[in-house]
Amino acid sequence: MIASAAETLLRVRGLKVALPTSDGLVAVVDGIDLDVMAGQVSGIAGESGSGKTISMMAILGLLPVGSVAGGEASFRGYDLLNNTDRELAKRRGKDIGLVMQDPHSSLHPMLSVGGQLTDHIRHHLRVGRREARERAIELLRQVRIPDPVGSFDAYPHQFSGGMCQRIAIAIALACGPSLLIADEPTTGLDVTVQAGILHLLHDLGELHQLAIILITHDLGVMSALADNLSIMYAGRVVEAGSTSAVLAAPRHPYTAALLAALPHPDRPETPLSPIRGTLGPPNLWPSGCAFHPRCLYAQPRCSEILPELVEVDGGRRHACLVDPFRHSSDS
Amino acid sequence: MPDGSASNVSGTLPGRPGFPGQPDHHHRGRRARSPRWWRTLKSTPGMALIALGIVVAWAVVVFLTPLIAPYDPLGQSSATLIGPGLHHLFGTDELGRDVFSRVIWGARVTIPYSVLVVVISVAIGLVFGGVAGYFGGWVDGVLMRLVDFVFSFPSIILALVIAAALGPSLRNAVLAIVVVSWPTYARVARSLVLSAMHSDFVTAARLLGPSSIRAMAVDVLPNVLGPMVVYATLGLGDAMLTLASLSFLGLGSQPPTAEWGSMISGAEQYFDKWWLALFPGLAIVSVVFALNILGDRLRDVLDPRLLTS
Amino acid sequence: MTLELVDLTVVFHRSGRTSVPAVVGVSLHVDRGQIVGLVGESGSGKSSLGRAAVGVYRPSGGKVLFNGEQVRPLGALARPRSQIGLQMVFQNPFQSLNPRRKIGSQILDGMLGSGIGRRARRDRVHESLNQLGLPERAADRYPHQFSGGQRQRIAIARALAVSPSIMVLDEPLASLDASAQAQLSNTLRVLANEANVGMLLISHDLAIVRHVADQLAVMYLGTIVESGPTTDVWNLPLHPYTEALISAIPKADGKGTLPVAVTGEVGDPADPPSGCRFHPRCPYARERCVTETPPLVEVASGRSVACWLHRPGDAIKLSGDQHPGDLGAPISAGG
Repeated sequence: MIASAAETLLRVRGLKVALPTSDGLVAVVDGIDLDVMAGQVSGIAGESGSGKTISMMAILGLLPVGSVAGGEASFRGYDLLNNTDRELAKRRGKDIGLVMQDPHSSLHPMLSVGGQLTDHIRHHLRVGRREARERAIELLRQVRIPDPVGSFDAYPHQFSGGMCQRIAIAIALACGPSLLIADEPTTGLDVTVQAGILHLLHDLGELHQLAIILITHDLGVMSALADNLSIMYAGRVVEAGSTSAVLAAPRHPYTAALLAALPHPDRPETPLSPIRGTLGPPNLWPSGCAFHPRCLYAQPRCSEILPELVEVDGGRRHACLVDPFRHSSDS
Repeated sequence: MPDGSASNVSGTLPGRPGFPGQPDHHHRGRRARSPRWWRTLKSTPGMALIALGIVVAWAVVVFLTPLIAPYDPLGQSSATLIGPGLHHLFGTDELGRDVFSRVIWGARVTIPYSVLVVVISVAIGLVFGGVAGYFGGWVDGVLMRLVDFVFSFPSIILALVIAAALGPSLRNAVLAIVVVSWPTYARVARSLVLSAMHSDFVTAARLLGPSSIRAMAVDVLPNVLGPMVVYATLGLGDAMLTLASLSFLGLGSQPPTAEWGSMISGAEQYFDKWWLALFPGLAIVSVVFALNILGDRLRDVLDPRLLTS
Repeated sequence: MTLELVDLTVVFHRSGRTSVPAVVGVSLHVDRGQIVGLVGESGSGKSSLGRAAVGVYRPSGGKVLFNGEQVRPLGALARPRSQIGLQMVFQNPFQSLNPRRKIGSQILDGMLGSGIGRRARRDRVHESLNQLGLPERAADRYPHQFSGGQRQRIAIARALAVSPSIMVLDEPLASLDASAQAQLSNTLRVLANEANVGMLLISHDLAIVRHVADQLAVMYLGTIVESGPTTDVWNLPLHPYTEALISAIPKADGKGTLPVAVTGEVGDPADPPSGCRFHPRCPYARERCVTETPPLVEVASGRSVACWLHRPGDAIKLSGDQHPGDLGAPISAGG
């Protein structure tokens, strides 16, 4: 079902997730907002422990009951957080597709590729075997698997990682969803294979006017694919805006530090700049701004006051009390 | 600008398995699923302590038997086939012997002999499996064919045949059970040795200089012995059941020795005298149950905490 | 003090199936104090090469020489004293440390039988830990108490404790996050300079290796297709695969450019394409590439490439912003 452009497909406000630990309930996602529009790729960037994956799992209803501690999330007006698992299951797969890291573990090793596709198709759409098979082969062709007909009867282990990921994308798109969630879809793949998958996601997104949520720690991948970007740290969004603006001129020290730690192909060889310290587990997250112990610009108030996301010039938002880069982004 | 400062040594807390977002989460344990009731039972808080208590209690019984048993287990009397009561807690059998005392004295037979069986089987298995895993090649081939040969017989039948051929006695029953038990341990030991020897840390250690013999001792064996102890604990219950079964069939301990298996067997003809079979049976169940719980817990404690973060 | 691979071939035999030549005729050279980056994707054979270089695998052909002496493969006996200076750091920091032994004890492994007294050994352990930015009390802890990045540094400290002259590092950065990668890369560079340790740094991540390595060697399906000083190779790649590898790296500049994709997939090392192994995916492939395998030849001083587009002396003709595309059809994006 192709959505009209500029329609907000997914709307998240103030989402909070808390998980039980030995120290009691600990907030791992602390109030995030998100707007995902048709035909656009929205990126959520962050490192391990930032809460990006858990947020998606909460939105899809994949967390244990009671984990969502607050906020709202709706898909085309349909409430995602307060419906039964059965209701959600009907949506998942049909209206929302999911692609995850490590394709070899997300494909069933004992079923043929075609079998997995047709199972999925026939479960959500009431079609007969022949039509399901035709659809499956067409999907395989769309994800650029060489020899779609032959591949139909093959098994996942006969394919490379890159090919398996294409198959996983085919399965995710099999029922014509309007929203595709891709969680680290190219992590672990060779860089040349990754390039192919990025092209594929880009082309398919345009073809079907998909809304894509791209979750990754790799800012290069984000830059290539995402139209707009939210940077997460310790369960909160610390910076958001169009990808070009955020990456070319970051306003939050964490974004800047992340970019500085990356090897930039165009910069002459200089030593890389790691971010000092580590984040640690959720029950030990610092008070105030969670990044302050590692921040080069931290001031005393940063440990006391939790910065709110403020909107600055046209759609950009960041959460930093000090705002050290405000002048450099004036251009 | 380059960061040379030391990182926080305490690092991350051991992650809860399956907790997404932990950078060090790599392993996802994949074990065969035991029945749900068992899993629920064994993770009931305190269950391990109860199990430990049972084992300790029986150990005390084994050591302090004469002090605990009120009567002579072989002492016959005229008070035959009396149900449980004040004077005879578990009643008496057809020869007037106190069942309670016989159960207590039976522990002295069943438990130590089962331990003996396991210790010998594990020792043989370790040697066989260790040699096979270490040398590989034709040595491995020959030894494993031997293991396969013994495995090809159904274990209880083979034990029966050997015990019968050697003549019914406790000692021969032990021998018979050892013969059918060691191959399992050999297979386990071999696989543990192989996986340890091919692991990166052993390779790294050998690159630093030590010979593979030393690597074997320092790196391989500790990683082998831990799981082997777990298997031994679990195997103990099995050995006990087999010993009891052989005795039940008349091939293990001989009358008038009090042993749980033969006590159950002897109760066959008096099946309405429920106390004759119930109490020895409960004794077996309690020990095997406790050992299984402990073995499982031991495995849980040993593996995930040390091998994953 | 050098590590020299001479025409090294490593073949894996599988029972009942065709054998896999993971490494075919590779020659490589690592000097003390020099970092050689060996870059390749899956199927390139780089890990197998690394292990064969230290003796974990026995070479099926060619030789591995450490200081002129042939490296003895690991066997039942202890390694010869003269070869302990050749060490290796493994990819997975969770598997390369024994979970049941304390860190200090594992680092001590290298000092057995060296005649160093107990006090001196302890000092050496602390010294190695400090060199990697780890506190001395780490010696009394167990691996599971450390993060992945820290464990990787412990593994390097362990190798350093024997004062190696050459280290082979197999994907040391792979399981680390961006910041830890940056930190470790800097550390490696410092170690090479200050401790005068030569390193063969095996990685799939060309972008990071570029910051660390002096020399670059690119591997594809078991062979080296290009080698030379890092800056030169990066700025002017001569082999189409190197060019593809560089263009495939996505840049985090916000410009939204999709990285260039190469058509096709890496072949099966057990059944590689005829002639030049890259020819099915090469945008400049000609007839000769299908039938004849190009040898690795030196086309300019210090730069070698295995490609029929080049002949010795050719590289001098390419300059500035020219690239192999100027010799043939341009690479088409998409895939």
